Amino acid sequence: MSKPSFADTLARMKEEFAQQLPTRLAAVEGFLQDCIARPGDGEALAQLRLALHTLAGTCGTLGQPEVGARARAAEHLVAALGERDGRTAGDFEALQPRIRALATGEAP
Amino acid sequence: MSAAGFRALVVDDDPLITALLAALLEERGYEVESATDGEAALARIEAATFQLVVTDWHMPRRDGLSLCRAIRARGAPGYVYCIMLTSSSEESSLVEAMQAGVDDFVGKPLRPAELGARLNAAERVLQLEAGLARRNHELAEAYGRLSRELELARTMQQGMLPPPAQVAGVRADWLLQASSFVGGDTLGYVPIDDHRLCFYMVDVSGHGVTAAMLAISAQHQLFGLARGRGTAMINRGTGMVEVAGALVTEFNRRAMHLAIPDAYLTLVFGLLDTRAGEAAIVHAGHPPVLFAPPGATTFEALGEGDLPIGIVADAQWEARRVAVPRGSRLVLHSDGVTECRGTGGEVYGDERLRHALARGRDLPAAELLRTLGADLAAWRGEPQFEDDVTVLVLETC
Repeated sequence: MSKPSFADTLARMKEEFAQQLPTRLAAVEGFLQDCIARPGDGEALAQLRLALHTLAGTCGTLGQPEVGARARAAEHLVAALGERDGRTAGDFEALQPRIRALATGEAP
Repeated sequence: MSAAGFRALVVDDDPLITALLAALLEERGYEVESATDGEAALARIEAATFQLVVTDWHMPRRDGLSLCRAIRARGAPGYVYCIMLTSSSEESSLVEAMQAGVDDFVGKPLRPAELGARLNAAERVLQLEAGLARRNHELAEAYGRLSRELELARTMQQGMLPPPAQVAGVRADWLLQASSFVGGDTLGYVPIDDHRLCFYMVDVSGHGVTAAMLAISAQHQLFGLARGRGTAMINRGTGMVEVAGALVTEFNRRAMHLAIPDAYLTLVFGLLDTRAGEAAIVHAGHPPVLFAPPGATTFEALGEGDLPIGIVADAQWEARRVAVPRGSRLVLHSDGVTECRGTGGEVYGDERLRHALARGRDLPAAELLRTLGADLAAWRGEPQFEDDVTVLVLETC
């Protein structure tokens, strides 16, 4: 059996990603909850930021550019929070609507 | 351009992206492996050879920058071309990435056309590097072959030198330290009969194979002239001075016949009659013979430089007659001895050589040569000489 072409692989990956997207968004939401629970924990913030960064890159490549753009914007907000001392749970709670709206762009 | 034969490692914390990159690279002919973080990627790089690494920037455990720094720090043979996947948030850090060893960047979201263009550039570099590596390997093999052949030539050249001997009333011994595998110095002594001896020392210009071949040719010619024409002339009653001059003139004629551009040689050629206690010596551009009569501790320089061999076709040489009573010592040397540079750049020099010979005047020739060789090595301060170091000691007894 011959190897699939790049175009075939790209189509398959886009389909697979669309199926995985809810799970990935749920994972981001989970990292956000970790940050709300431990707002001063740099490791939790780094995980949230990395998850948004990866999502942003993958979305753009695999046919979800709008989701990617929203993830990128959220990543920048999290990065800015990372620069601040005295982060509170409220800072992260304020991000919650934006994170929950990553898929649709509409506030829930 | 084909990437066939190249191995690529794709590194991204999203397995969908690594699968996509792998598909694109495999379509171009790469053999591809993948890793989902920088630490795992580095472990693969330690275990296998890759020519191309396409890596994300931000990843768990070890990021792309740190991975590139680690790749460059390895210093392993063969170049690894590193392409970094970047997003707009990383654009301000591109200089830092280049300093870390990144060769090129591809923006995220991935656009296959852009990545293809970047890979074209990568493959040009990798093809050039592969070509250079192939040629370096060929050169190393050729150098190895040449070194073995030079070593063999050195063995053959040394095998043509006469062993230390007592012949025709003369004790003869020598030292020859070649500057490289083979050198352009040679020497010989050939008995004419039981009290007459022909001796010579040659220094061919330059070093290496050409000089060594000319030295071997000179050895062959001079041995033949001494044994053939020289012996015949002596036996016919021709005087040693005339014979020595005629043989050197004939040797020059034959050397000119070889017509090797820019090649010439210097020569000391002599005939020694121990019964009569005299010698006939020709200098052809060579350092003078150093001579000490019996009981003397100082050495006198005999003769002048005169014209070297192989420069003027119809040149003629005349021998100088020298009284050589029994118990005399004659020392022939190449300019590699007196021009031997020490650690401070100063040459060993004529005076230092004469002092060394004077100090060893009462030593047997073999012991004198061993002492002189050690003195020169200490003066030089390193095992390799710049020029061949050759000394021939003749002692009438």
